[in-house]
Amino acid sequence: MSQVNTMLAVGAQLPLLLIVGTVAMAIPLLVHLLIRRRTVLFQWGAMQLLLEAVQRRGRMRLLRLLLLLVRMAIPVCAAAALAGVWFDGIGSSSKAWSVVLLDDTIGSFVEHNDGHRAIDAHLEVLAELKQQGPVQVVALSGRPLPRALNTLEPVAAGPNWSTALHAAARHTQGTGQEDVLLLSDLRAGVLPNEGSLQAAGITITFHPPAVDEIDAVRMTQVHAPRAVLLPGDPFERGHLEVELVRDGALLSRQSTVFLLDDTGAELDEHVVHWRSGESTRIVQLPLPRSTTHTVFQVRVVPTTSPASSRWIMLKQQTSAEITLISDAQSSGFDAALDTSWLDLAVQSGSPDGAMRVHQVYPQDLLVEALPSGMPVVVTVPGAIPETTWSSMLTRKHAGQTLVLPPPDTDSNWLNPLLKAVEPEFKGAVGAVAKDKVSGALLLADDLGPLELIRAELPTLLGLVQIEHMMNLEPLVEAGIGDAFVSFGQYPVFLRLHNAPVVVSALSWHPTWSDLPLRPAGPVLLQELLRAELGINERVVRTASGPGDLYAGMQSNGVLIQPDATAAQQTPIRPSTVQKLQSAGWTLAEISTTVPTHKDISWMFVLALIVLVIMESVLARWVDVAVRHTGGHGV
Amino acid sequence: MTPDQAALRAAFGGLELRARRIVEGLRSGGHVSPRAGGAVEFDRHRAYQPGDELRHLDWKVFARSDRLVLKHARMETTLDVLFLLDDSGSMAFGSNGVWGTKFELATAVAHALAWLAVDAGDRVAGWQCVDVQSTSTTPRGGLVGLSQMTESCGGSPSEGDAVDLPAISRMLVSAVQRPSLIIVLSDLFATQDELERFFGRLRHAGHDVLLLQTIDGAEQRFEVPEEARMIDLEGLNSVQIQARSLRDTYLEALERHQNFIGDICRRLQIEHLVLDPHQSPIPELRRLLHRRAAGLSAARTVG
Repeated sequence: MSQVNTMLAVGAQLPLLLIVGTVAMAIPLLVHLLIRRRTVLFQWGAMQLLLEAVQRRGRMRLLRLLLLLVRMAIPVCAAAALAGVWFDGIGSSSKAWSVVLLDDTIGSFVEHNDGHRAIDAHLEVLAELKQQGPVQVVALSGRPLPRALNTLEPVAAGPNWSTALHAAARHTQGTGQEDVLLLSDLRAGVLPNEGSLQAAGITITFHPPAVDEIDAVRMTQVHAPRAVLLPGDPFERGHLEVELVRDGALLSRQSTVFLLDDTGAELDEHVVHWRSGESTRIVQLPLPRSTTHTVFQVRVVPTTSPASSRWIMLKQQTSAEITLISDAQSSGFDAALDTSWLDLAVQSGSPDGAMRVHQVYPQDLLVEALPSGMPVVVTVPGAIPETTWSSMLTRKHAGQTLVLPPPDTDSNWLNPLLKAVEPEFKGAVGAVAKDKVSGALLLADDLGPLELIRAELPTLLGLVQIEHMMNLEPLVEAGIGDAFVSFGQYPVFLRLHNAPVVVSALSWHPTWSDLPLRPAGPVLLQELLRAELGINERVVRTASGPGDLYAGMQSNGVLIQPDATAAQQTPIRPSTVQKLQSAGWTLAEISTTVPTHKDISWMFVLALIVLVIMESVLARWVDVAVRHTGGHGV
Repeated sequence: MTPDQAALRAAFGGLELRARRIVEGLRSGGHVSPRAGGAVEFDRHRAYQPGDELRHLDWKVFARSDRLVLKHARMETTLDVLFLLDDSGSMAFGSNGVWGTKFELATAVAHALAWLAVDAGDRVAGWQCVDVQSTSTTPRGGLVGLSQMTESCGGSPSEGDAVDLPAISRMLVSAVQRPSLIIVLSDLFATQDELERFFGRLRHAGHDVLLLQTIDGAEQRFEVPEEARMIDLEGLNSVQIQARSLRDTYLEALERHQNFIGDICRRLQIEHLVLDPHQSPIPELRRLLHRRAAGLSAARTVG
């Protein structure tokens, strides 16, 4: 009750308080207005001098302010330079990591038998790094990371090396630090690109894991080694080499490794599975959980795939058949077919268990779509078996087909080669040109050399347009010749199958929107499978690698999509490596530390010298001006 | 009062008091004139040579020494003294000096010097600068000259107007063919380029130039209210200032300007005198006129 009374009393006095407060607020204003000097109007004769003085005073003020700032900066610079020297001995030995690539792909979230996950180990390491200084974290999937990393959810896709590494490069730019710490279970890749490695002269022994080995794989995959992956120049060395360095010492060097690359993802060859001796098992870096704080520098000198890894997977629903359209270079698919895992997977999830898998090379389709008589240049590695498309090509384009041997590891192979075959090919093209055929189709599967071919062929052959077939998207965009207008609408596909077609693992092209095709990224693919196959509870997830794939299978799930996101990336090529090198990515031994305090000291010393010179000049100007002002007599 | 003095008084009108004070002040130290000298003066003897005019023979020397020598005389022509009076807006500035505004001081000095010149037998003429094109003045001696001077230089400053120095120099060079003494009375608030061209052109035309620069003491010491909006007397310019913060820079600009004028005068051999309405011009003028008289005598001796 007393509170109520108090409130009422205050309420009654409120207007009075308001008035008093307003008057109190107005007092300073009134004082200001009263004591304010009134501006006097004053007629002046020497206005020319007055205006000159006003302008000059402005300049002088600026000059003096500049001088003040310079003088203030001098002791700061001097202190910083001295501090750098002082702390040089203290801080130079510590390694500072500022940019961390965090593997947030699904593999890192797989729960191990003992209950821990790789992502947890990653976050532990990350927390420790953050105690040492600010850390910029970049998601390996390329997606933005949440502020609270412990809320991180797995991304249903593989690593986006291109985006992630470029983001990391942006963060390292200007810091003088070229290393990026990778926190990963190193499982992000998928199946090895056998053809690529063979073309690069690397001996591969690959045995796809049997289904009964899956548990073992899972058991050993959950680790969180720290690794620094830096691209080298595979083409100069011609071999694949991985060194493990532990505490600055070479721990081991392995030359027989898997380059996990059948998705065509940029830089995916950096993802290494470690082979243990002659064992056919796939094992991860042998790091027990207790060693996660050990810094490992993995120097990867990758090879590359001269063959394209892009592939298309089509599923025909109504006939219960799956048609794979592949370039046949993905040994992963070969392996998958060999071991029938896909059949197994499909059958296990199929209502009737009657699905079959066909493999169709896209070359077949394109050759079928080609107009007869069009000159064709073929550059394909020898790993491609003789297939129907090559015989078709020979038949339809007899006399106009130039088959180039596969490229070797020398990226300059093309020039001498083309020059050698030039007369013969010119004759063929010339003959065609008489019939007013406007373009030539270049069948190739390596985007790097293709760029060279594209650059060189016009010089050699005149105005003949060159396109390649493996990159379907630009092919459709380019629409070379009338023949490809129909190709852009995929009539061949429709002719082969009168059913809806699911295109996966390839970026969606707008011109396909009129077709009975549906884009199928991982999520959509899951939905399709749920809707069309009726196996909702059994489709576990799409994943980025064989480990996940097998894991999914083991969990009574089905995985059909290897890595849609990764497959959209440009395959690793010389140009990619060069691009990364030009962006500052270098081998580990070149520079692995941030600038030392000593370096910083030198920068400050230089700045100090500049500032002293500036101070001297400015002071002289001001001094001259002041001395001028000294005498006032006229 | 002599008739001449009465005529002068009538001619000077309102200027009389100031001009007369100046004239009297100057005369108290002896006879001075902007240009000392008479009409014809003996110069030297030289031996007779056949063909010389006999009327120049010095018969007194012939009577005393039986030598035929010619009396070589130097004929001094009448000098034209031209007054150029700056009547631009800035000349209206004054700060309660005993001699009034800059324009009033300049006018008094001009008339005093004109009086002295006429008194010495020279001819005078005067122009006010702003309206110089419309004024046509021929140098005249005596009361006529003084009367004409009063007419042409007896006005007031032209409010808001500035002086077109190039036009004035063009007019003077074309209108005044005979080498004359040009007395410029101005505060000389013009650009350095204009000033250099102006005086250079006058000197190049063969005129003797005497520069009497009038600057008010307030202008010299920057005596202005602490906070003021300064309004240009010659135009629409105005600027808000705080005198304390601007004083040093202004004085520096003034010193630079004066140094420049001093340089021009030294280079072009122009007499330069700074007059302040707060101070009597008489001592400075007297020294100036004595200096000029001494200079003329020396020149005559050398000649």
